[in-house]
Amino acid sequence: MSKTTQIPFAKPTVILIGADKGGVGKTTVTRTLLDYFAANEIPHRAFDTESPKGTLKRFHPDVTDIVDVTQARDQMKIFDTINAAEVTAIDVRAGLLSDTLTALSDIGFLEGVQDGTFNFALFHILGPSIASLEEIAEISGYLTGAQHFLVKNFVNSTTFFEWDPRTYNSYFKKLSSAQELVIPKLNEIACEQVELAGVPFATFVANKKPDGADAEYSFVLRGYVRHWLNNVWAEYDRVGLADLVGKAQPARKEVEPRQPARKEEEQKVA
Amino acid sequence: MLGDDSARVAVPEAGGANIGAGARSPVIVVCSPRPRVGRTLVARLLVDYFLADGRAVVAFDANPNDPVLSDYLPGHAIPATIADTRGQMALFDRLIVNIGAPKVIDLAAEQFAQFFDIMEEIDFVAEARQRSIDTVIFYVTEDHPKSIDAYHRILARFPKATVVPVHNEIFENAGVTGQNHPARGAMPVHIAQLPTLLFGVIYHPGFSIADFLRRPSEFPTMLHKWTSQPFIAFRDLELRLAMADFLPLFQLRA
Repeated sequence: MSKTTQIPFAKPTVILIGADKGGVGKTTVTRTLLDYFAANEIPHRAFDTESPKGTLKRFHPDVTDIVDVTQARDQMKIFDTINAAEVTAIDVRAGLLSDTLTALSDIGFLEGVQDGTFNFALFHILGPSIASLEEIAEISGYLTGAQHFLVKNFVNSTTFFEWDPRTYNSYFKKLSSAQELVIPKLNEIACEQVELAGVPFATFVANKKPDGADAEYSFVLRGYVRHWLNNVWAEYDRVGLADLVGKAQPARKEVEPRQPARKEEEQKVA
Repeated sequence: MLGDDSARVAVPEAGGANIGAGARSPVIVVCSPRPRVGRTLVARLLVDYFLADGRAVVAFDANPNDPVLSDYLPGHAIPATIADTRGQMALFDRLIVNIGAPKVIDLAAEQFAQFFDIMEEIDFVAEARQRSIDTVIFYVTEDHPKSIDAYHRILARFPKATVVPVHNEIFENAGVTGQNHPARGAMPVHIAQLPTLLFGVIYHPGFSIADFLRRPSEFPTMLHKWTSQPFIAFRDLELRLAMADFLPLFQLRA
């Protein structure tokens, strides 16, 4: 789990990242959130509900546990251990968002959100289809007292959200409390290289391997990832994410200093 | 572009002792947003300046549609393109390595906008500085609103780069460097009109300016005289870049 400084007197915060559709980039968004919390020294832990595979755990093994959120034993593992000093991020597997919200309602968590015991935010990753919009209205019924973020995730595709704007707005206006977030597109090769590296985005920028050793990632690709991650974090700042989790001001922690790999680099030039 | 530096993912610092531990070396981008302003000749002169001095230099011919620099500098110019990510990696991943030798890029007009967009996005200048690499932009001036506007945008976008206006008199619409194209961190470079006889010589396929200048000569030739002014400006630039390391020693303390 995260070893950063604890925040006194903050409320426990749970962030759910989900969608009822697969392949819309839930785990990518969760990874940017965990990088954001780390950079801002916000203590955090994560649960990956892609049991047993656990894509998120591959990138953030130190803070991630794999759970089956529909099982009572794993629900206890998550909610009985919530404490005020940490943000709990749950990457909900495709198709499980409604079930997870129902489970949260059943165990009384959503009641606790309404009476102010917990902070709760849903990062609802939108897909390209109209079904995705219908899902928004259905889910919003669970979110009294919660922060609802509608995330347009362009990271994997440039053809998302080619809906008729009037149709989209008619759905969006029903949700006066929801806020829109845009995750911009990341260069495909950069995206692919981070996947291959199996490290958090910030670690890739810092040119480090999973074990902390020096890596030899492309300077250009690291630059693209850094620029993209800055834009994503700017979106989180814009919607007041740090404030939501009890941190008054974002306080970025610099990425790990890079160690030189001069010999290898010289060979590239030669 | 995000305005507040504190709210950004920082360029990783050069934590180890080796990065930038060697001599300072410049990355010199010879450019203009407009074609046919004599840009490749300027790139050639720069490369030949280093070669004539017996020093190593690496040149990149980022002119995929008309790679003329490679014709004049066989063995010294590497073809480059930034049209796709692989090409960008092949170029910028080389530029960012400090091998202790200058690198010169002849940047085609059609790649001008994309090149500087990438340079800004990947924060090239900041990371280069951490590796003791100076970013120098040789901008071949033109008396044209688009050229003047692009020049000022370059100055604004890359405040830590040295920007050198190059007034190429061979090009009839070269403009005036001092007014519309103020230099930053260097003196402007003036390239005088090329005598007709010399024109035929230096544009002869396979002719090497450096080889000619290295040959012993009892008296200065037309080529020696013609290259002297830009070469003095290049030398001045090198001295200024070298002195940048020592500037803090001369600053008065409060």
